[in-house]
Amino acid sequence: MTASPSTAPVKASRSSGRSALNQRTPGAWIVFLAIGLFSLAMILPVLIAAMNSVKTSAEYAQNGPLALPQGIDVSNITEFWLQIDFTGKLVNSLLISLGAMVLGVLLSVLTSYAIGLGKMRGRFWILALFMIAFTLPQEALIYPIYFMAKAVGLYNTQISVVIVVGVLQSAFGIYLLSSVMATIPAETLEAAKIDGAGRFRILVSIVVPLMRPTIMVLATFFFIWTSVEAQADDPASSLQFYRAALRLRRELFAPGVPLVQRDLGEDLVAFRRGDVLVVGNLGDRPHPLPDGAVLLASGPLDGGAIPPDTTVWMRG
Amino acid sequence: MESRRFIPYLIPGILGLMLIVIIPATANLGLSLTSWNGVGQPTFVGLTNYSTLLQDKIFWQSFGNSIAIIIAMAIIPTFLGLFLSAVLFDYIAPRFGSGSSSASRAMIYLPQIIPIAVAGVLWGFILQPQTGLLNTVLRTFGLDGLAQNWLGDPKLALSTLMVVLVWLQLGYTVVVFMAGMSRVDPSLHEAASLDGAGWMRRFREVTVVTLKPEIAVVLLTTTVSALKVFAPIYVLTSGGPGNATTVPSYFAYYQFFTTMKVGYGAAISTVLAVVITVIALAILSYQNRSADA
Repeated sequence: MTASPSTAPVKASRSSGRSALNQRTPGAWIVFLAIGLFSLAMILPVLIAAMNSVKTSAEYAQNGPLALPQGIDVSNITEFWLQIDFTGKLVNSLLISLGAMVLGVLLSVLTSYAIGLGKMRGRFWILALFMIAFTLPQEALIYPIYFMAKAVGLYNTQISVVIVVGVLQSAFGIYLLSSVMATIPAETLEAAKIDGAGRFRILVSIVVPLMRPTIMVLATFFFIWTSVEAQADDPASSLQFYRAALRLRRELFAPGVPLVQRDLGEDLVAFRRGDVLVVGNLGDRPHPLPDGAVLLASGPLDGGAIPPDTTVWMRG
Repeated sequence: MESRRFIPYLIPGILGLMLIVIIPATANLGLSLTSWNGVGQPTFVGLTNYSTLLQDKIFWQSFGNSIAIIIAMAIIPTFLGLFLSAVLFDYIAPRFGSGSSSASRAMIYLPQIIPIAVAGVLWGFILQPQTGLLNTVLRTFGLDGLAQNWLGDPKLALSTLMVVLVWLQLGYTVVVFMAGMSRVDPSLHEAASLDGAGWMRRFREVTVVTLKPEIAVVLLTTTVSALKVFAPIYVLTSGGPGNATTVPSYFAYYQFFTTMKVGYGAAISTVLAVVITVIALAILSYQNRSADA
C-alpha cells in the first residue's frame, strides 16, 4: 500500500466544511463541467424522443424530428396508451419483473453463499456449471423450452416467464455475489461461529447485511433487465405463430393450386389460394373482416375487424 | 466435512439450472444433428450441419465482427467506466456533493433502462442520413463532407454500431464500479491523499487494486454479453448492410426463424455456446488464481 496513516504527515487542515484537499479549484470546476456535458450527451437521444412525443403528427411531418415543439400535445401519448392497453401491459410487466427479481436474488444469495463461503471442494467447477446459464446464447434455448412449457401446460403464462428469466439471471448474481463474498474477512465469520450462530443465522444476520449494496444493485439490475426484456417481443410467441402458419400451409395448400390476388379495397393486401384467403391490413385503421372462418391471425382481432399491421388467414 | 453442510443451499439453484438450462441445451445439441424446418419430424443428418458451418463464410465473418463488438461492449466500457466512476466517486462527490455524482450516474445509466426497441428508434432520429440530427448539425456548420450514411454504408456501419453499443453499455459498468467503491474503506483513500498521493496515483494504486473483483466480474460479463449480443443488432441494422454487422447470435436467429433451418441454427448456437463458455472459463480461472494468490 502507498501509505500508512500513522506515519502520514498531516497536510490537510480539518476546519469546517470541505478539507483543503477537496476545494473547488478552477480545475475542479472544469472537471465538473466536463462530466456534466458528458452526462447530458448520454441522455440526448432520450431528450429528443421526449421532445417529439409532445408534437402533433402534422407538426412532426412539417418540421421534422429535430425542431422544437410549438406546444405540448399529449394526444399521441394518450392514444398510444389506450390503443395498446399500456396499463395492462405495464401491470403485467411489473408483476413479471418483480417475480423474476425475487426469484433471481434468492437463488443468487443461496447459491453464492454455498460457493463463496462454503469453500466446497471443486467450487470453481460448481461456479462454472452455473455460469453456463449465462454463457449459453438464449436462442439455443427457445425451441426446447417452448416444447417443455407446452408439455406441462405453462406455455405463455407469467409463471413460466418468471421461472425462466429468474433462473437465467441468477447466474450473473451467483457469479457477482460469490466473487464479492470472498472478500468478507474470515475473522468476522469466525467470531459469529464462536458466538454459536448457525449457517442460516450467519447468512441472514451477517452476510446479507454486509453484501447489502451489491444485493441492491443486483435486484435493480434483475428488475430492469426483466422489464426491458418483457417489453420486447416475446420470441416464443412469435415462434408459436410461425409454427401455426407453417402447419396451415402444409395442411391447406395442395401443390399446384394457383395463388390469386384479390382486391378488397385500399390498405388491404389479399391473396386467395384454393379456399383459403390471406388478408393483411397495411393501413392505419381497422377494416371489417371478410366472411369466413378465421384460421389464424398475427394479432388479436378486434370485434370482427382486422386491426392495422395484422394479417388474417381465413377459410371461406 | 464442514463444507458439505452447505449443500442444501445449492439445491434450489441446481434444480433451476437443470430445468431451464441443462436439459434444453442438451435438446438443442440433439437438434443440431438434424435437418428440421420447425414442424413435423426432424431427420437425423449427423454432423452435416457442422461441416457446412465450417465452410460458411458468413459464419466466420460474424465471428470477426464479434471482436469489434467485444471492444465496444467490454473493453471500452470497462476502462472508461472505471475512470468515470472514480472521478464521480472521489473527485466530484467530495467537492460538489454526492447529489451531483448520483445525478450523473443516473444519466449515464439511463440507456440501460430504456427498451432496446425504443433505443433503436432514438438512434434512428440521430443517424438518419437525410434528416437525422447528426448530419443536420454537420451541415449547419458547413461540414457537409463529413455527413455520412452512418448505418447504411458497409464501411461505416460497424463503427457506428460500436459507438451506440458503448452508449448502451457504459451505465452498467459505472453502476457496478460505484457500488464497489462504496464497499472500499474510505480511510484508505484518505491515508493515501494525506501521504501526498495525487488523484491519478490514488486511482491506479488504491481504486483499481481494491476493485479487482468487480473489474473481473465486469470484464467477464461484458465479454460474454458482447459475444451473445442480439437485440441491438436486430433493431439497428439487422446484420446489414449486406452482412457488414452480422454477429453469430443474429446469424443463428436468422436460420431459426427466417430460413427455418432449425438444425443449422441449433448447430450455430451450439458452437457459439462452446466458444463463449471456453472464454468465460478462461477468465474465471484467471480470476480464481489471482484471488487465491
